[in-house]
Amino acid sequence: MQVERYRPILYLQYFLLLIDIVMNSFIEMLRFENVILLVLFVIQDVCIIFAVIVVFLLFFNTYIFQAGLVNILINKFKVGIMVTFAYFGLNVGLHVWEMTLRWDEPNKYIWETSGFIPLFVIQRTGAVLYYYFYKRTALKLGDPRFYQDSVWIRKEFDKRR
Amino acid sequence: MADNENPPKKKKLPPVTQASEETDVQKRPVRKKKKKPTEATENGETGSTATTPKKKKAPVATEDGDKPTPRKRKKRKPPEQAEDGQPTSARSAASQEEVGGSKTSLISKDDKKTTPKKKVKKKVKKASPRVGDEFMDAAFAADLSTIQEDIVTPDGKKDEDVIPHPYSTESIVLKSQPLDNLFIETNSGFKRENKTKLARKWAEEERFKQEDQPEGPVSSTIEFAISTHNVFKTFCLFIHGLTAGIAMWHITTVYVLLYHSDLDFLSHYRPLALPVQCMFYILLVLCTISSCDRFDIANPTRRFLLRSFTLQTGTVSIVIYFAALILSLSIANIEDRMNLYNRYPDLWLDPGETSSKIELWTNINTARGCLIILAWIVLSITSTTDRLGQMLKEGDDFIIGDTVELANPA
Repeated sequence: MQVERYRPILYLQYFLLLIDIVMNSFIEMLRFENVILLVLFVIQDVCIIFAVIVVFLLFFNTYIFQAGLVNILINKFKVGIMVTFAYFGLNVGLHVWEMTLRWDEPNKYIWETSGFIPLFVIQRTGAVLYYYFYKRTALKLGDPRFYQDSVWIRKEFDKRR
Repeated sequence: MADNENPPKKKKLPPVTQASEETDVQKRPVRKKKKKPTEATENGETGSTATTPKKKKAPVATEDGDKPTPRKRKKRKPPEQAEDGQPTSARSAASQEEVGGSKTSLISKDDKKTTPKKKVKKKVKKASPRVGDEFMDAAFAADLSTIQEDIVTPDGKKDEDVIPHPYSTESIVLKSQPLDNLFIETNSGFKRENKTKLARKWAEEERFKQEDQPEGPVSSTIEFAISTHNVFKTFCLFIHGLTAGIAMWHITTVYVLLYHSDLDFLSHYRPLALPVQCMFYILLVLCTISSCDRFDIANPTRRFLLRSFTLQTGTVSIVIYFAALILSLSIANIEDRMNLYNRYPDLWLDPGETSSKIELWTNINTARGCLIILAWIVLSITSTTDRLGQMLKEGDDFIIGDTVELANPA
């Protein structure tokens, strides 16, 4: 893969992560109206979906994937993929719950709802793991060996047949 | 002074030319005859005992008629003569003194080894004159009279004079030894520079060039990935210190504000509550990601795990940062409650609950600040560790690792 092609992709991935970090950090200070809050939540979730799509597009672009050795790629990045999906689930769950609690009054004190604080803490802590693994996956996919033919790939291909 | 210096030079110069002219005339004969003394001395030394020379005298006398042939051969080998020139004088002196000392014998042995065997015959012939001087004073005086003269004079001066003449200028040039200084031409003239210093400068410049080159155009995707990773690493190094500083400032601020009553504290601290919570979250997230990057927890090796559990690496900073993050998140509800103090003062109506909540918050806040500072200290001790960067640079293991993984199920 060309550097010119990889550069904007990596910047896009960093940008998506940055949006997510900023949303996670400052959403509590942006409780102006319920609709604004909802839009922000939606933006954050869509960003995660975009991030996943970008990573999978990179996967599809690799020579290993095109050779049909998808399992290798999934094995390689399974932790990152799992963390991303788990985080997306937590994110959507928390957002839905928070939105239902705050819809009538965005600044309502909602922390006394039982179970909300643990979910909040888990979601925010999981976010760190998501950032770390996603960033690591994005950087590792810059390895040019994923995008070129090699003796090792041919051997693996022969094994499969 | 200059006047005094010049005349001697003029006086000195003419004798050199004269000598050289004289030597020109004498050269050929001298060369022929020089070999005799040199080799004669060698023989004299080899036969430092008195018996050998006596034996050699007889053949010399008988072979006088053969002299022209050896002379021609000797002409073809001037370099050997030149080399032998200086030692001969020393050896002749030694032989004259008849000192069969260890040094002279050693030198002679060395020379013997180097000289080819063919020369032995020639040496025998030439040995005779020197030997004749020493032992048979009058026996070969008639034959060797001319030889004697040649032998005596070249010993010291003629050797030196003969060799330099055609190359007299060269010999002077060769004598000049290289200076440590280089003279570099500039606009104003020549600038004197020390060679070693210049070499160092050039080496440094080359080093800088080499360092600069890879930073310029990025040739491969992984290099670009590494460069962005390095930027993030540097940025987070700054964030680590900033977070620790803010934590320190926050703890002191809170303790200063706690001198007031609870409600007073709330009214003062309220504007800060939510921003501080949000700021700590984003800073702690960046710090945790950075420390995870540094120790690359997703790629643990057995040795690294062992070293981490025995606290030989800074991996514990990840745990500390996570603890601080969880503490920070767990007091988000109290901080949000403080934030809502002006909007919903009902939340803080109960004084007992208020004081207990503020006390809990103060303790957790202090713990959070201390953990952040501690993590920063731990991380700053091992600030050079960058396992993710190394993994990206090396990157070889993934293929090997995969082959192993795939080999097992297959």
